[in-house]
Amino acid sequence: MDCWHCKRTAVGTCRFCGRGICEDHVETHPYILDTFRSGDVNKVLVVEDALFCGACTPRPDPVELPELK
Amino acid sequence: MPPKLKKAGRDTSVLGSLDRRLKRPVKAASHGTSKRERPVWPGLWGTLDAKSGQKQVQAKKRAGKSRAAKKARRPRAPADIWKLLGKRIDPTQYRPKLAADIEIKHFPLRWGNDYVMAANPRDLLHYRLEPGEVELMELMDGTRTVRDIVLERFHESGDLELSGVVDLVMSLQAGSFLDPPYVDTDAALEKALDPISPARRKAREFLKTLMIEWSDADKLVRWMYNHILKWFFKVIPLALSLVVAITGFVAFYIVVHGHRFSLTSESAATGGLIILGLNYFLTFVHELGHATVMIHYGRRVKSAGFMIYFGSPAFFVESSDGLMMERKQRMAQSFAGPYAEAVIAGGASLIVLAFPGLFISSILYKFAVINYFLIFLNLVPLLELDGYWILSDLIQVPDLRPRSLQFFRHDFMHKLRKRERLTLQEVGLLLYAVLGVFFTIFTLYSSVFFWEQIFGSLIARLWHGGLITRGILVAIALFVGGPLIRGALKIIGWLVNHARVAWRQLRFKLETKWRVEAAELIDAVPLFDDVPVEVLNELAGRVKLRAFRSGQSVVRQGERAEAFYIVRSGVLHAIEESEGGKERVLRILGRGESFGELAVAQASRRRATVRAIDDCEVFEIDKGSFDRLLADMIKVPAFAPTFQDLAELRDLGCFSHLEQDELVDLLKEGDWFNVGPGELIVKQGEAAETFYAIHSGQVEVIEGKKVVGSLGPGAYFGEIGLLLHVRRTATVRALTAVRLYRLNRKAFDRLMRSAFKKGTLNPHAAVDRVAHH
Repeated sequence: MDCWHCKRTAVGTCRFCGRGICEDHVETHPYILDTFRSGDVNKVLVVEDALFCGACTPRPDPVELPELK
Repeated sequence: MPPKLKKAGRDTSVLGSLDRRLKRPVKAASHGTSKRERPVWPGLWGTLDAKSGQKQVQAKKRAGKSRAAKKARRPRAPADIWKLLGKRIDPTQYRPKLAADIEIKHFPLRWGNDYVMAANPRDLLHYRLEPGEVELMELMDGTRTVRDIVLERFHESGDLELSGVVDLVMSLQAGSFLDPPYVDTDAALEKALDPISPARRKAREFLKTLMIEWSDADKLVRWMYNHILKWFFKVIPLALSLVVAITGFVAFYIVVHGHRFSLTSESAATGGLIILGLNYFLTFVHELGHATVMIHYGRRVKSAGFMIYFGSPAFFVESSDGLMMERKQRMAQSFAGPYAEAVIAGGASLIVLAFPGLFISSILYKFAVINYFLIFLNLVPLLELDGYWILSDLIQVPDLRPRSLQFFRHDFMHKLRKRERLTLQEVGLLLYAVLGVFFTIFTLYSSVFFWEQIFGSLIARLWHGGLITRGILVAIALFVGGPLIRGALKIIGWLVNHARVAWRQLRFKLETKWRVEAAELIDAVPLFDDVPVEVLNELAGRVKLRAFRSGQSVVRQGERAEAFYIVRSGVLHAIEESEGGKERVLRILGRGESFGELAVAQASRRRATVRAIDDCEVFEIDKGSFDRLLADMIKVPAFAPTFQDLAELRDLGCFSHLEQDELVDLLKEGDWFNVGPGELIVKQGEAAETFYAIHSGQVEVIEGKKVVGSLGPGAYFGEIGLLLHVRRTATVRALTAVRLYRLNRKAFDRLMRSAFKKGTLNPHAAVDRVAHH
């Protein structure tokens, strides 16, 4: 797989969208593995520095989709 | 890749758990399966579709009960969950709705430079907006999509304000001005991943910014206002305070002329420390004065705190909510700080005059001097302090200082060079800017002198008091002088940068000869169209001259292309290397010949090795410069739109204000087409899906059988169909040969989406709209 940005050989893939990324273009972004609810508190399991391509846009603002309840 | 987390041998990822939940048999998906048959897992996508379809069917069932079961129940096609999701996240489909509690206030000004303030009362965030932006905000009622707003605006103004609308919507969303409020999980995560106590966070913040902010200050000020300070807004207490301020100043004048006290007479270090403490009290009173007026007029204090400001310890009140007050109220708020100080200084002066022999009188005298000095600094409108805000509100020029400095730095120099006359207003701006610069220098000098007079003895005692006190003094100096050190470092950085630029210019002058030669050789390369002079100039500045010895390779076969080359002198061979190691000379390159441009343009690997046969020199142009300056001139497949394409598009009035990258997107999304005289472009009554802009030629507009008008270059039509979702309201026919640019509804929406992607949803983008007092 090649890097999305420079077409060099990729060393990893973006955790969010699957694009290939080389060492020069790799970025990191926290990734939520799982969510839990403990009492009134939401808790999340996080990878602090998951690989991120910088090209896709993981939305920080949750999207409402009531049809999926 | 991060290691995959396992929980008791199970996949714990979000998708994993979703999969598990969905892998349970789904009733809606198991129609037709016998009891023996195991339900077939319809896949994640199928299950999601089935789930949403099932939900719709259930909703229908509930509705059906009330409507009676007259009609046979027809199976409903499941909704496409992905389409729904696509709609939810499509920025063009986003329906911005201004939150109900947003406060918007118009401020008409004498000079026509009206502005509008918008406040988000939940977060006490304030945006200063242009009246035109507020008109856009009024359209954000939750019924219109972003696309509708852009189109509606376009219909009214004739300008396609893509980025303007998009930027405003994004800023408002990021500032939680819209309903529902913006939730930033990234920020929340970042905070949660940095688990330090609030006290440590504050300490860390203080070391970084030399500022401690307290967000609950409003409660304290409100309590003080309700219990004590509100009485100062009654006539009698106000009159009494005025009497103290005035008589106190007279007393101070008498004391000064009595020559009984001097600033340097008391040399005790404890005296210096008491004055330091009183000075803190003074700034606290000053800021309390501002905050109290805000509370009095029904506004809120966002925060307050302590900071080191230009080396001096200071309290501050974040009073951006005061920007929502009326002009006279704002002036009262600005004046309240110095006035509170004047009352305190007056009281101190009266005590000194009445009881000159008191042990504390000497300290109170110094305190009064500091007080009046600070009142003077605060009220002089040449510094960006209270006096400035009073003046700018008085003359109704809210951006007086930046405007005058802007004029001084740019327009004035230009006018001076062109020997143009200055208008009266420009003379005023110039005068203010010049006086402001001189007064800032004077203030810095006098402050150092003044503080040296007041605290000189304390500093001397600490310096001569031994190693420990000297260490304390250095620590205090470093702490207090932090911003000055940072400022000095910034100045050094600025000087280094300027020196670097100057050196580059000097070197460029020395290299002019071969750079011009390089530009001429590039221009002569047959692969490129005529290269414009401005591009050649820029290339001449970016080209590098590289020398190679005989036998040395310039590029190697298989390498990724990062530059292209033109031979200046010497001979080189382009060699193809076979897998067996055999070499075949493909081409012999001499002066003026180029190599590597196609590999750069196509981002492919080198197809041959180029090796110097004798000592040679080549000009090298890196990929970045090539892509930006030459790619669209290469006479092989088009790699980028030409400048001419963009210029042609910009000629159309409705696109004239678009940025370069927006025009490039527009070129990708729409297309040019020509029609002959008499041809119909739009037919009344047909479905409207396309917008047209006329580049050249004339068209006539026909309603029914009647010609209602004609349109020429720069005009546009077809927007009504896009705006109102109606069929064509008129026929448009070409009178002459016409060249048009057309953009369909889908292309328009794509363009909008890309405008959103280019923006960054970052609250700091709106910082310039947040005012701090």
